[in-house]
Amino acid sequence: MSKRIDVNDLDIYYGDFHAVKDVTMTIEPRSVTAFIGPSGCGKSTFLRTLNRMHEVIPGARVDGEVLIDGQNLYAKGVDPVDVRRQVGMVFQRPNPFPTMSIKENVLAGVRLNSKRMSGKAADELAERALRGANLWNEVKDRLDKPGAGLSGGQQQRLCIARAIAIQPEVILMDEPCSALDPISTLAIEDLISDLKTDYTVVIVTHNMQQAARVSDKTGFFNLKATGQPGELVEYDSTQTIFNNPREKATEDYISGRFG
Amino acid sequence: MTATPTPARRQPSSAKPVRRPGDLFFSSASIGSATIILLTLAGVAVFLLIEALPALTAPADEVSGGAGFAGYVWPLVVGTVVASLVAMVLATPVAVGIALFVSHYAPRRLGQSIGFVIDLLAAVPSVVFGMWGMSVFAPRLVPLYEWLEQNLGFIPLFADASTSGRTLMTASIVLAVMILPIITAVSREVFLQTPSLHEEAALALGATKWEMIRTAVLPFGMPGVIGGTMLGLGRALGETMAVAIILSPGIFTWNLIGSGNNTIPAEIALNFPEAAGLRLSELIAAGLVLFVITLAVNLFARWIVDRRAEFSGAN
Amino acid sequence: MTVQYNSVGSGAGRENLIAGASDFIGSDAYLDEEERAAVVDTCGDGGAYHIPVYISPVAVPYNLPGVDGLQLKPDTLAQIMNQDITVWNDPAIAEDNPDAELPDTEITVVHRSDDSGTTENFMEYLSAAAPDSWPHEADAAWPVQGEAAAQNTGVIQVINDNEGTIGYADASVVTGQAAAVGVGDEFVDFSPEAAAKVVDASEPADTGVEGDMALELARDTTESGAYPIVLVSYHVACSAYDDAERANLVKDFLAYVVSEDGQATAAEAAGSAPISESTRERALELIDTIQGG
Ligand SMILES: Nc1ncnc2c1ncn2[C@@H]1O[C@H](COP(=O)(O)OP(=O)(O)O)[C@@H](O)[C@H]1O
Ligand SMILES: [Mg+2]
Repeated sequence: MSKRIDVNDLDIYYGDFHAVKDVTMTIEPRSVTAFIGPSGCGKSTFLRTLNRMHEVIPGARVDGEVLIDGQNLYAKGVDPVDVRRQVGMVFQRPNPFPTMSIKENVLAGVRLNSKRMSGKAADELAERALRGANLWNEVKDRLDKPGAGLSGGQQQRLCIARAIAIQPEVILMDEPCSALDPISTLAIEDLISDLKTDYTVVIVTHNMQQAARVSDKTGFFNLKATGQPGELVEYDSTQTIFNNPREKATEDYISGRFG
Repeated sequence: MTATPTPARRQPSSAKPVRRPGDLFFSSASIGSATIILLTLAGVAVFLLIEALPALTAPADEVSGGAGFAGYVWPLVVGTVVASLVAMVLATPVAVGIALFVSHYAPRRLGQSIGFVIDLLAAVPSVVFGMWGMSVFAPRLVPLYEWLEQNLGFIPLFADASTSGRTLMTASIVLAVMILPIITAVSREVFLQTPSLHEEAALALGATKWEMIRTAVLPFGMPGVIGGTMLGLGRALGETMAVAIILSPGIFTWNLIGSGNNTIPAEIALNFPEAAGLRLSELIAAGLVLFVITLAVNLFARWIVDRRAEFSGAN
Repeated sequence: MTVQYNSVGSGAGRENLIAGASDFIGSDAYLDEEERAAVVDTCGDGGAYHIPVYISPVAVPYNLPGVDGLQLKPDTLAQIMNQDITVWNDPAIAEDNPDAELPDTEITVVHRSDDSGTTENFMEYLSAAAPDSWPHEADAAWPVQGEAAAQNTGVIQVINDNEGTIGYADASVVTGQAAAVGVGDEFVDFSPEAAAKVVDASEPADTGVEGDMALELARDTTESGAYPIVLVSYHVACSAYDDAERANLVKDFLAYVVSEDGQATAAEAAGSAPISESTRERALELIDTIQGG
């Protein structure tokens, strides 16, 4: 179920604005990869190119290739809708559908993809996804209540349950804990560690301890100067990045002397 | 959005809350306006009731039609409600479609121009709609009505086609065109308000554009669409001139494609100038009935919207 | 002092006069017996005067390409209006129009959708001139289901838009063809002169007021050249006012309205037919007897 991602010479643009320059990297399956870096250096932008969500923004485009198990996402004839079904995404702010109940939220993606499902199969799937997101015990008695009535941390886990319910190959998370309290953050971090047994997980975080705690590999993005495109400065095992970085900029950022 | 309680920055509890002059001014101004609205409404209701009383209490054979006020007014009620509902049913899907096109499909420029043109439609006086409906549109519908009579004539609604096309159906279609801008404008605004967070949530789950609209945009906009539809329905219920000009009124019939039927506002507009005495009272009583219908429609709409309030996303 | 003219329907106007809310009013019909009894309260025992001021022919417009100068006897017209005759080549119509090529088009009768004095007048004509063919009592609302349109202009619009139609409307708005109506052995087209003629041929109505000019219109006249479908508008004023100034004002105004000048203005504005010289003389005499103080 988990797949490997190869990015080759990827340039990312918003209209004429060159946001991220020349990224080449390999993301291993069944691992957690974290992206760190100062605000505005293009972490979110890069993450969104991995499931073709970048192009949702008018004028946004990319140049280069992203291969998932050797298949180029940006090859001619590839439907972005299919890509997004393989590569799930969790956003910075929890965004359950406000008009749907907890259960409907979990099943929202499945309902889009496979038209029909028996009531029993739906119940089982919802339970499996909610258990997978460590949320089942908290919501099992109020599955028909609105998803927007949960706490922020619970909403974010609901969004993770929604993403894993469609059984993607890869899960992308853009600062999934930045809107959450420390306890909820811990719950999500535990969950991320669990998820890597089944999925390729890519996470953006501004919290370096978090990157150190949960990830196997870490990529450091940086800007040379404002107005310049962001770049992938260094990409290595999390151990190396935090203890023994090759680049001076990485070391400065890690040690808090920068950004 | 959750209404976050403002951070507690309390004075010692003995201190009285400070009433700032600005707050005081705005709260009395808004309470005043609300009171004026309610008083006006109550005044209108009382006026209608007093003026209507002679018709409501008159012996049955003195009222137009000779069957009492109820006998006089119910065909008008049916005509009004049928015309407005048909207009609403025709206009709402088109309006929602246009609103979606403008808000989510059309390139920005094109969307704005289309929105502008639709808004212009709202500025056309209803007499113009009436004249156009009677002289231009009605004759063009005659072949359609003839086809309906020939092929669906077994349905009482399509029993007998008019030769002039000046029917309740034509009036309803023109009403639909007239209320289209209201429903479109309101729907477009709420669709544009859809949080991109929800749209992206749907897209990231592998929704196609249409699926994204179905899962994120439409549910979010539904209360607004219902509100716009009710505004439109209100306009259709109260429209006088267009119906009075287009429709060839007459006795009540279920046949929508022939002459006959009338609506309360058109009946009032047509006959008010010559009315005196009991006839005048009849017309005002009919106006009272329309007032009650409109009130009921609004309460019903409110109830529909409130029923799903828990899921509105506005909690 | 000024004269304020409020535009309300004839019925409402008559109510206003009786209630004393108006000093004089215009009306398409003279006061009925009940109203005449009631008006004594405001106008005094002398009651109210009816002064005929506007004479408007009611035309019978039709739309039937290829048939010019349609002629209709009262009975034929009444049967068409009552939808007893439903096609244009009906023998009865053919008999009235020996030279016309009548098509087998269906007849669509267009009537007023709003309550109207024109409708009431036209029905009065049908009742008087064709009592055997017209069973309905005169009323402001048309009694037969058919095609209906708002106001005189609406009726004309629908007739002009649709072939095979016929209706009735104030002559001033007619833009197309109108039928000549049978009077005695001849057929008469509407015209101001023909309309004024029927007024002269009419008997005064018995209103119980000395010298009053309310008319029992001779709808069934056989007088040559008279057009019998007319609507006479009266100004109704009290025979006496308790205020001399008020009385003088009303007298002055009424005198102007019936004067040649006033009539010409009305003819231009509303397309009405001017009253005849003899009517004017009698009207001025009557106006002169209005008392004040
Ligand atoms: N929708 C957008 N349109 C145009 N420019 C954008 C948009 N989103 C982000 N950017 C720009 O792209 C650059 C990278 O932004 P982002 O990926 O959000 O940074 P990060 O997530 O690392 O904080 C920034 O300069 C930002 O201003
Ligand atoms: Mg970001």
